[in-house]
Amino acid sequence: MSSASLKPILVVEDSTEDFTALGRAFRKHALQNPVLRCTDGDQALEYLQGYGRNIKWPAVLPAIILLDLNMPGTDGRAVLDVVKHDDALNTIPIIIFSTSSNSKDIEECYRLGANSYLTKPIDYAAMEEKVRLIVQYWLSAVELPSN
Amino acid sequence: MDRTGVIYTDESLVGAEITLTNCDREPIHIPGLIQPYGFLLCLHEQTRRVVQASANTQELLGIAAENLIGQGLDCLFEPARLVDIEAQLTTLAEGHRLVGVRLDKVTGQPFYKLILHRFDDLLWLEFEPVAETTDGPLNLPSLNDALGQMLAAASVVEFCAYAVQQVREITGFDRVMAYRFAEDESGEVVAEARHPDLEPFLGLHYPATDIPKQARAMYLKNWLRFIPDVDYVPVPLVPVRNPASQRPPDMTYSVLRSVSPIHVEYLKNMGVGATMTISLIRDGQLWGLLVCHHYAPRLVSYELRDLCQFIGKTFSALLKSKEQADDFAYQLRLREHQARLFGLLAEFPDFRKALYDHLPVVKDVFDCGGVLVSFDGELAAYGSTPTAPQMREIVEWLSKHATGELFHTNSYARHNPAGVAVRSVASGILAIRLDRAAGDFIIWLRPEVLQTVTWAGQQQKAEVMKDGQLHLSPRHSFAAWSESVENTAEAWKPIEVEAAEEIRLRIADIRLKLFNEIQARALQLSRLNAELERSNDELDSFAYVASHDLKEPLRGIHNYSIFLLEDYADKLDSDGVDKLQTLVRLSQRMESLIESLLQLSRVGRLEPDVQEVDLNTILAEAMEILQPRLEQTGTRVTVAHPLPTVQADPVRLREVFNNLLTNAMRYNDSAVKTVEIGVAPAGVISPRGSISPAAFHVLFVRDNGIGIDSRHHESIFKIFKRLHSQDKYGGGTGAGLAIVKKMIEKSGGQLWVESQPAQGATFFFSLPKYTS
Repeated sequence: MSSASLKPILVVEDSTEDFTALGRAFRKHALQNPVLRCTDGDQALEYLQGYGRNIKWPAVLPAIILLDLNMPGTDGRAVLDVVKHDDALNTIPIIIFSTSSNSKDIEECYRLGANSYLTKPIDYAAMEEKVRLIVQYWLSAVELPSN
Repeated sequence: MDRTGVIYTDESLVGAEITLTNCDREPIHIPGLIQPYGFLLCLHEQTRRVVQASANTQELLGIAAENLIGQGLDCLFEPARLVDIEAQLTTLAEGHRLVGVRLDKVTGQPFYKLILHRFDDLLWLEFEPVAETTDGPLNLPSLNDALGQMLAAASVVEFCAYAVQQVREITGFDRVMAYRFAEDESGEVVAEARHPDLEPFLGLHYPATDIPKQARAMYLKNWLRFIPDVDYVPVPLVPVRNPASQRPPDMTYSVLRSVSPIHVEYLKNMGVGATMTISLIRDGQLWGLLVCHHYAPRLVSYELRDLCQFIGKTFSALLKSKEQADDFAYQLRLREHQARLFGLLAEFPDFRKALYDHLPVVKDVFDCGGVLVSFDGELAAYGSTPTAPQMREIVEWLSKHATGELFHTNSYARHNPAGVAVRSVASGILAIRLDRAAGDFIIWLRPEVLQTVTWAGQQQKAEVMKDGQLHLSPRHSFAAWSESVENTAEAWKPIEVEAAEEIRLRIADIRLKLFNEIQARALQLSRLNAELERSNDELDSFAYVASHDLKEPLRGIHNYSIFLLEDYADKLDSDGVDKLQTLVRLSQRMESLIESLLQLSRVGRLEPDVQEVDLNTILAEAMEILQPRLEQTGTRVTVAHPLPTVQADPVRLREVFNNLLTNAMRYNDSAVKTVEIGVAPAGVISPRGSISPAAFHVLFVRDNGIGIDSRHHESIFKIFKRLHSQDKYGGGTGAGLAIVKKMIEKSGGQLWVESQPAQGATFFFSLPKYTS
């Protein structure tokens, strides 16, 4: 069990149904970490850039961020851009979890510094499988920075 | 006091021999000589005493001229008559006064006509005998008629014809002609009334030099000159020089003035015995002359001469209106012809064709011999024109040397020596340039004047020499004139040049309009294209965004159906479970439809990454991916190697092959499935017409599958169009061919199919050839 196990996982997802399915998949794979949800990019930045100062939010930064791209208002690309340019935040792995399989989107996200890019499959079984891989890889297989 | 502004003469020539070489400096106004049919006395203005007298007073009056010098008029007249004359003298000016007198103090008391005027500080008394010709009473009704005719004359030439007829009737001269001077001061006989036995001079031209400058200057002041007998021996004045001025007195207004010997010689050569000329003056310019010839001596009474002068003055007064009528008539005709041409230009959409097909209309705009129309080196001609090569030369010369929009000359040869070759038909050129770049012209041609002159005597040769002397004659004059107008056409009138410019502008307007229409159409097209592109882009973006947004709720539906199945299967009967499973299946199908739509929109939204592509390589890659399925379905693919190199997006091209090959396998019931890939034979025609073999390669993919009814040859390329139910032939989404078609079209090619049911299908697609 890595030190990351106590840190929360941040999910930035505007769709409640998608978040429900994600939560279901986390539960299925017995995720220990607390799951935080932001419903849009502004909220996510408020937490990430204001952590420790803003009592509404946890005083710790997340272990990893699961980021949806297409959201109303400030979208995932903007969040990714800000976080990866912020010296206090840019070490947090960001996993893009998006409907879009557009090569342009994929390319751009990696260019901005995304650590992974996964598409949301329609098939729930496939989705569950992807969540399992994320949890196993990011929360147990790899070493995360301790910030 | 009259002083001519220009002195043409040389007083040192007084008394010298006058020849053809110095005649234009001959001081004809001060010859110091008179014609002997009358006599002359010059009186001192104040003393009224004779200062000079003509030497023939001895002959006519029996008093020697010397004896008259210093005398008063009382030596000739009774006091009563003297009072009358004296009364005239006090108010005298240059204008003549006529008094019928009887020389009371001369033997036989003869009757004379006394013509008085004042000039050069002298009082002039010229005595003419009563005429030999018996003048009937003046025929006023016929004169009235004549003036009526002159007034009604519709043209200058008609006007001249009435005038010469009238003068001949009044005077009985054998021949009366109207001369008209041209711009270059040469003359032409434009009307003639003559005795039927005489050869006609009508149409005769003579050079400017035939009437010397100083004579013309005098004709402007003194309207009528009269020589009753050309064989006269001139009589000198006594003394020849006026004592006050020390030169012969100025005889400009004198009736008896002796004329130039050169002129007399000319008349004698023609066999003329008596002559009278009347000036025709327009706006202070000598316009022409009425010239009377008689082939025997003829004394015309002063009164009749005065009447002829009246006709001359009437003529002069009316002349301008007649010329205006002429101009107006020509203008009217010009406008009519111009309007006809403009009508044609407006009627025909192609103005060149309008010109080419109606050359006579183009020519008739002006009085000319012929017309050339030249567009893009294509020549069309009508009327009297030179040979085709000569015409080309004219066009070439104009292209090079006529720098302006309009060029006109009445002597092309003067500008271009080579023009001599075409002078008979093209001495005059009026050209309008229709296009700066190309040698596009309309050119009207006028023949050399000599070609159009009609004088009966023009073909006979002038007798140049006679006893080693230059022999003056009309024929000689004509020859001299001909020489002076070689290579010259009738000049283009200002109004003609104006009309040509109007035609040029009209055609330029039409050209501009056409150009603007084309521009406007191009603009409209590019606008439509841009709009189409934008709406295409919008559609593609819409499809992209919509499909993306649709996926999310769809995923929700799918997932929640799964959760229901997972969490509540035990609470549902089999029918409920079945419905939920259907819901799951339908959401998956919908997802694949949306995915196809996304793909298609992606093809439209992304610019293809165009590069040099070797089709052999691309096909090999596609085949490699499809290998398992090809083996599974037992499909034999034959490729007519080598395939060409094209200009396309390699990734998309692989997609094209992948798609077409998949379809060939899929829609095939044959035991042995075959697919043939190759280059279509040249001259293959797409539904949109032929394809340029220089720019495109055309490829084909042929299968031995189930074929496609021609009804569907278009619709199969529409998105989601399937010809079969979902449970047949692997149940694709129906987007494949739409995507392929869009890919091909995005790279500039076309895609179409040739097929019949049960006979396999051949898909053709064109791709641009590679250009580095």
